[in-house]
Parts: sequence; structure tokens; C-alpha cells
Amino acid sequence: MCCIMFTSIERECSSLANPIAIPSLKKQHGTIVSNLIDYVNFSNPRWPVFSRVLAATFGGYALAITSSLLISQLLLHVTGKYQAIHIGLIVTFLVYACAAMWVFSVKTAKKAWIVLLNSIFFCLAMTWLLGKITGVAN
Amino acid sequence: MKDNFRQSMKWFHTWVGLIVGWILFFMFLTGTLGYFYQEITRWMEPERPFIEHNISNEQLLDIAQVYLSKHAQDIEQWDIMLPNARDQNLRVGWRKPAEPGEKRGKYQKTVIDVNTGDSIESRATGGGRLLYRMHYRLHYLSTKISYWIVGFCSMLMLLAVITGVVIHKKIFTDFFTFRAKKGLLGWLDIHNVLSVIALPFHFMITYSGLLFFLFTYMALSSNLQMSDEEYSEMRKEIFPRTIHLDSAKQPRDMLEISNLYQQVKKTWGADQLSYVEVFAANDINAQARFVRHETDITYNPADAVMVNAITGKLILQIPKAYTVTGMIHNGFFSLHEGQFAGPIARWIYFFTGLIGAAMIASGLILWTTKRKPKQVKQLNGPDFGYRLVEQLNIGTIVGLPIAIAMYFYANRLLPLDMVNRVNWEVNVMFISWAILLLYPAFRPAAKAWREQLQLAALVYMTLPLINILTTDKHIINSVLQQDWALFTFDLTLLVIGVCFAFSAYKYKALTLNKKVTKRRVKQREVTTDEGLFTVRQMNKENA
Amino acid sequence: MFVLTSLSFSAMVLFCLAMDKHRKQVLAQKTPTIMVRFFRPTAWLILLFTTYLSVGQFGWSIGIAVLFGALTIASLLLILLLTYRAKIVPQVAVALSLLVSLSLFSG
Repeated sequence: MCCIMFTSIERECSSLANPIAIPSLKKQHGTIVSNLIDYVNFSNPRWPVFSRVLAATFGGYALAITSSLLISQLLLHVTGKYQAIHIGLIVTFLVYACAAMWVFSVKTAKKAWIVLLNSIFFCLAMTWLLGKITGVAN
Repeated sequence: MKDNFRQSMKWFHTWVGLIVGWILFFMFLTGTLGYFYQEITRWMEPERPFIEHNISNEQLLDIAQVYLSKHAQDIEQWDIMLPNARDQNLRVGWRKPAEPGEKRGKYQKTVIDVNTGDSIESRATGGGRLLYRMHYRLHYLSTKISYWIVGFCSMLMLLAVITGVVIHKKIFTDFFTFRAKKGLLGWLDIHNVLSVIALPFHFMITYSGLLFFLFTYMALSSNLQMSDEEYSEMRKEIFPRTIHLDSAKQPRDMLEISNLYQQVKKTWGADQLSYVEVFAANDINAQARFVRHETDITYNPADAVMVNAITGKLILQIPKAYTVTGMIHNGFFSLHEGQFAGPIARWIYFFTGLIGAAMIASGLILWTTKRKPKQVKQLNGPDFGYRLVEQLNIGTIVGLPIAIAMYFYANRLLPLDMVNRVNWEVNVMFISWAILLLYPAFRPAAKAWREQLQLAALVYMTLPLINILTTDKHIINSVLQQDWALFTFDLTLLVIGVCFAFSAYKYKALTLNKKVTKRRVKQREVTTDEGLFTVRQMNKENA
Repeated sequence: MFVLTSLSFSAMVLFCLAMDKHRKQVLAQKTPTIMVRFFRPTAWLILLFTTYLSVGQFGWSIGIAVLFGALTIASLLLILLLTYRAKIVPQVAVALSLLVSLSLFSG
């Protein structure tokens, strides 16, 4: 199944993003993260798609989990503890779906990864922060 | 990734649908059959008697209680299940005491013949229940792996549904458009129409399907936030269990169940009993819980009435205040399972499930139809990917229904005393599916389609005949005994067979037409007929 | 259930006729634009009434689910008719509405 996927993707990707753009990415000054991602995104047009697939599958899952943590923390005092957690959990699939869709619509795979990782860290940080402020251990 | 959002989502929608389309078709088809699983099980256990008309609920309760007092005297907890429109025989069940090495005893159910008061031994079969369980508990794989594969497919289905809506440019203006006479556009229109008319159902079914294993898929989140005790408390809040007293080990005579039922009838104002559960039987703490058909998707406390079996008085249960999230969660479950559905609503569920399956099938066919002109022009013939998709299409869209019919054949034809009969019925189904998946590799696509359609027609139309030859619960007797559930099953098989036959005939006509004339216009007309009738056949598959 | 499906059918027909493309398929003569403006609101009113009937008969939770089922069947029926027998759509809608009114008033 994967072989077909990639042979056909290759055909479609050859009409995709201009390969000349790739070397220019190397010129950008970026964070460590961005340089690391440059290193991973080889010039073969298959890689951006594979990279997006990884971002959508695992990054999206991580974002879904962390967003559920954040949502339950936000709702902790609005509703009871179990309700807050429950709401956070029910919504995870929607978050996951939206994240996956978004990953495949941004301009570059690199951007997808950067924003995803930033969002995950943001959610975790906010959750921890809110936990400290409201004084509830989670 | 492509030029604009819509094009990226179109690419995404195609890939997401293609990767898991066949597994999703399997899940939709077996799940749709599941709406009638009790009826299917009944057909697959022909030793069970025909329905008895004109017996009151009280009489049934008495007959059951007599049987239980003879065969389950020392059991504390037993159930009586009354015949209902779907499962038209009286049943009793109880949990046997745990054998050494078991946590709890096996639950035992038997059908009781109301004329003789004795139990009926049916042939070993998985019945309809095994068929529908396959749709979330893939056969041959362990529970854990199945749940994750099913979850992965459901997630991709959710993505397909959402992206499908996003990319459908003219979802309102094209709502009623079906250009049957325009070939590829016809297939696209079929796919769009089938998706849009049942869009609430598709979204509901997919999301509720994911919710079923919410705590498995998102275990990481719930483990990070709650301890184990908090987790079980939370589960009790969402899925409350009825509280009942345990046996106090003080024997006392209970009142007759049919007697207790009179109290319950007064509460409900109608004769609506579905089943009875008795706790701490023949004991000072004996209680009986009378349950009727669901009247609310979330929860209606009045659907279950608890009675003290010694005094006959109602035990008032404080209606539990459901949390909003609990209502949503349970609501989704009820909608997915459709347990609440009466006969008409159930047929609509069935039909809509078939629409879902046809939506997936039309999407898969659309993929090959779109690429066909370019692929057949290539020097070395079509690509491997294209041929693989076409082969899987034929083997699944027509092959899976044939395999399911083989399951029914196995039920009728396998020897009754065969070892592992249940497993072998299923093995027959999967072996035939495997053969039908491999077979198109050896035939040109058009011939393979036609031959499999013909085979499907033959297989479905002959099944009622085999039924007549092997059992006495066949279509003629069902009419004579006015057992409409059994009759409808055989009738549906015939209707499906006729639909397949019609599709095969139309497909043959159009492939012959294709050879005679190469005019573009004729070709389009001809592909559309194929499209239309294959869809009709897909829309009326199975029972 | 028949009532719900037929009413849904009528509502869907009105939505359909509100669109120029389909109106040309179905109706032979031209209808005045003013009349067409009323099709959509009337369709929504019929849907509201159907919802009311459904919820009244089955309760809120099951009623809404049954309503969606009726809409699905009605839409499919209409689309098939439009494709193969577009001209009879108004007659079918009228006939169904009559049957529905009869059953509502009698039973």
C-alpha cells in the first residue's frame, strides 16, 4: 500500500513546490528547531509529504492530548472535575481532525512542524501555569 | 500544500479515502447488518420455533419461571427475556457459578419452546452477532490491535467526512444534482448525493464510533489527569449501574413474576415488557427489575422499574441527574447502536448504513473511473497502483457481499456436529472473500466485474432455495405461520439477488455496447447506466 | 413515519423549486418571481412543522434522529425522481400532501 502511495505521490509532487525553493531554505537563519527540520527535509519531493504525514499523525495526536489537558484545566472551576476532563476528551477527535487537515494545507512541511510543536508547548505551558495559579495539582 | 486550501483538501480527501476505503466498506457493511443482528441470528438458528401469536406476557413469564425453578434453583441472579418483534422467542439466562480458575461464571442463555416448556438446542453458530461484532472487533486479530486499526480507520473516515464537506464547492446549489448521463460526472454526483443526503448520519456514526473507545485512544490524557480510582468514579458517573442488593442467604419464597408484573404495568400504563432481571432470587432480599424498550436516547429512568420480589412493592429509585457530558456521551452511543429504534426506524438505519457503504464504494469507483482513460492509454498497460485498486474494488464491493452470503450458506450446509463449527462458518466467509479478492488479478477488469456480479446474483437467489431444502424454517412456511421476520429475511435475499442480476445484465449490455461503438457520447451514456444500476444494487444489498 | 417522510418530501421539493436550474427541469411554465420568493420560507415552515410532529410523537432525542432519517429518504427519492422523471415531481408532492392531510385529520 505504501509503495503505491509514494509512487503516485511522487508523480503528483513533481508538479508541486518548486525544488529550487529548497536550497533557499538553507539560507534562512532560524531557530535550532528550524535548522533541524531543514536537515530532515531532503530535496526529494517525497519527503515533505512523508514529513507532513508524520506531523499529522503523531504531532496531531500530541496536540489533541495536550489541548484536552488545557481544556480541562480551563473548565476546572466552571464545571466539576470529571465533567471538565470529559469535555476535554470528547473534543480531542475534533482537534486532531482539524490539526491533521491544517498540516496538509500549510505552505511548507517545515511550517507545519514548527507551528505544531509550538502549539503543543503552548498548551503544556498554559496547563502547567493555570495549575499553579489555581493551586490544583493535576 | 497545493495552490489553495480547497485543492489541498481535495488531495487529502482522496488519499485518506483510498488508504482505508476497503476496510471502511467492510466496517460499514457488517455494521449495517448489525442493525438486524437479532433477526439474522434467528434465521441462522432454524431449530428455534416459529413465533407464537396470542400468548400473553404473563403466560410467558410463568413458563419461564417454571423452567428456571427446575434448572436453576440455586442461582441467585437470572433473567427472562420476552419475545419481541426482533427476537421472537422466549429466552432465559443465568450466570453459572464460577469454575475454579474463572473470575466469574459463564453466562448461559437458552431459548424456551412455549408449547412444551423445554429448552431448545440450536446449532452452534455465531449468528448475526458475530457478523456485526466484526465491524469493530476485526476477526482473527487480538482485541487491542483491532481497536487501534478500527480507530485509525474511523479517524481517517472523520477526516474524509470533514474534508468532503470542505471541498464540495456547491453543496447547496448542487444538492439535488445527479447527472446520470454524464459518465465520470455521474459517479461524482452519486458520491456527492449519497454523502450529502445522509451527512448528519455519517458524521454521527463516525464520531460516535470514535467515542466508543475514547478512554482507550486517549488513555494518555486521562491517565495524566486522574488516578485509577478517580477514573472508575468518573466511569460510574457516565455509565451508572443499577444498584441492587446481594443475597442475604436467608431463603424466602418470592411472589410469581407475572404477579409482580401487574404492579409494573400500572406504572407504565401499558403492556411493554422487554425483559426481567431477578437479583438474590428466593431470598429475603429478592428484587426483580422490569425493563422495557428504550424511550430516550440519553436515559429515561422510567424505562426500568425495580420491585421487591417478596412484598410486591415498588422500590423507588431516585432518578439520577445526568451530567450534560454524560448525556452527550450516552446519546452518541444510543444513536450509533440504534437500540431505541422501532421497526420502521430500524429499516431507515439499515438503509442509511447502506447509503454509507455505497458512498465509500462510489468514491473508490470514482477514483478508478477518473484515471481510467489515461491509464489504459499507457504503453505498458495500467499502473500497478491502478490495477491494485481496481482489483480490490471488485473483490470488496461485490466480493464482500458474496462472502457474507457464503457465511449463510455455511450456516445451512456445515455438519451440525462439526468441531469448531462457529469458527468454520466464519472461516468459510473469509476464505471466499480471499478467493474473490485474488480472482480479478487473473481476468480483465470488465469481465471480472460482470462475472462477480453474476455470481452474486446466483448466490443470493439460490440461498432461499437451499433454505427450503435444508430446514423447515423457509419462506413458504414462514408465510403460513405468519412469522414475518423470517419471511422478510428470505425475501430480502431474493431482492438482493435480483438487484445483482439486474446489475450484471446491465453491465454486460454496456460492455458489449462499448465494443460495437467507440463514439464518445454513446460511451458516456453506457458508463452511466452501469453507474446507476451498480449503485441501485449497492443500495439494496444484504439482509 | 410516512407522514414525516412525505412532509419532508414536500419541503425538499420547495427548496428544489426555489432554484432556477431545477425549476426549469420540473415545471413547464414560468412562475412569477414573487411566488418563487415564497418557496424557501414555506419550505422552512414545513420543516419546522415536521420537526414539531416528530418531537411530539417520539420525544426530543429520538424525534430529531427520526426526522433526519425522514429527510434522508425524502431527499433520495426526490433526487432519483428529478433525474429520471422530473416532470412528475409536482404531482407526487401534491398527492403525498393530500394523503398526509387525510391521515392527519383522520387518525
